[in-house]
Amino acid sequence: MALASGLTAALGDTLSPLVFHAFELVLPGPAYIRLLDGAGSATFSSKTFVGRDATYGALGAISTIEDSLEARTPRYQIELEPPTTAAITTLSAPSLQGAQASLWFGAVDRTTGQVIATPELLLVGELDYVTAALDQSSRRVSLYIASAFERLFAGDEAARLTPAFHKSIWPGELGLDFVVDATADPYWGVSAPVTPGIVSGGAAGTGGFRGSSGQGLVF
Amino acid sequence: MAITLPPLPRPWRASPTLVDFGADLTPPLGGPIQRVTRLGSRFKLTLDPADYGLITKTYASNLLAALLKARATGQTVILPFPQMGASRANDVAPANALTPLVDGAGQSGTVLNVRGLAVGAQLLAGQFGSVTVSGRSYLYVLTDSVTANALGKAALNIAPMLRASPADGAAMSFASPQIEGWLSGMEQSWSVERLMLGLQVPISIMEAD
Repeated sequence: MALASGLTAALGDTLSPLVFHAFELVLPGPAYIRLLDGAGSATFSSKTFVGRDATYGALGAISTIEDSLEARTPRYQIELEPPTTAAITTLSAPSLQGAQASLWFGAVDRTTGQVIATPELLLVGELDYVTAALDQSSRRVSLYIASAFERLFAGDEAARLTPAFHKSIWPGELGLDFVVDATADPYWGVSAPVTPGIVSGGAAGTGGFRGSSGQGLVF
Repeated sequence: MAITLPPLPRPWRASPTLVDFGADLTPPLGGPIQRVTRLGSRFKLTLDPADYGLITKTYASNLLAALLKARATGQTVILPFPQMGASRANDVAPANALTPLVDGAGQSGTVLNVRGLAVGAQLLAGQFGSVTVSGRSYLYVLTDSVTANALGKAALNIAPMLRASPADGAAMSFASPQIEGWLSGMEQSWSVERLMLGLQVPISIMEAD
């Protein structure tokens, strides 16, 4: 997608462009952390970004947005400098995993202080995990943010060919209740008996079941 | 809250700095240099500790106490900012131009509309003024001379960009501009010389935002 034409013009101007990055994290509530990478404020799309959030502090760093082949989705890292330990605790809460995080790049008109045209939305992702680092002269929280494609890598490790799991996906569907082999207990951490009851064909082969590849399903 | 340092005795020497953020993108092969700037330009002030002049014991104690209190209690400090030509009466803007009021809320950028000036009052380029927003003082400089119109209003061209939008009616002080910020660094040292009856305290403060 091309940059908004006004933004392109501002970046190509003979005056040095005045640029900013804007970061938004949507907390449950919803509440919003909207931060700029400089002191001041900028408003666009009815969202106002500020240099310092009273609770969550200021942006410390924005990493390069990176991607690679195969098993990586686009991801980047944001560093916040929260003034309080309570803010670190809030950011580290498990319930925040998956919170929507967005990053924009834009330019500001020096005279009016207004945002020029529409800032470029660089990436919408979700919060993956958080680390905190304390040092003599720093207190930073790193937010690792991944693209929503990250979810495609979620393995179906809990999938079992059992009536209970089957009904957890299709409530009331009794098909597996009458499959004799599928009622066998899974063996955890040990080898299967000499005559394993691996189900072939039937429910596992006809699709619809999330673990249909049968990998790791030993009964 | 902020701690106001005791007014410094003359003579004293200050080195103000405008701190810009951004980068000069210099191609190592000789291509044109491009400058990219970021938001948040602001001022910094460093005082030359060797040039406070003769100070009394009481004054030295008070100055030191104020500095240490600011650090101990986590407060910013406020210092008067040197106004150009402040020692020459003829150079100072007339009294009717010294404290205009911000005209309209929600202003941003490098133009600040003000009111409450005497008709025809003149504000001179290069003068510094400070305005308080949400309990914190912000320092700006006039980049162009301006004359108040028939309604006593004027549009001031200022630098750097407004970092916080002042409220309607907030007073902008050109009479006694001040800079508010954190004392630089995490250490505060000073030296006492018995024979010279002097106290040397390096003071450097930078606006927080």
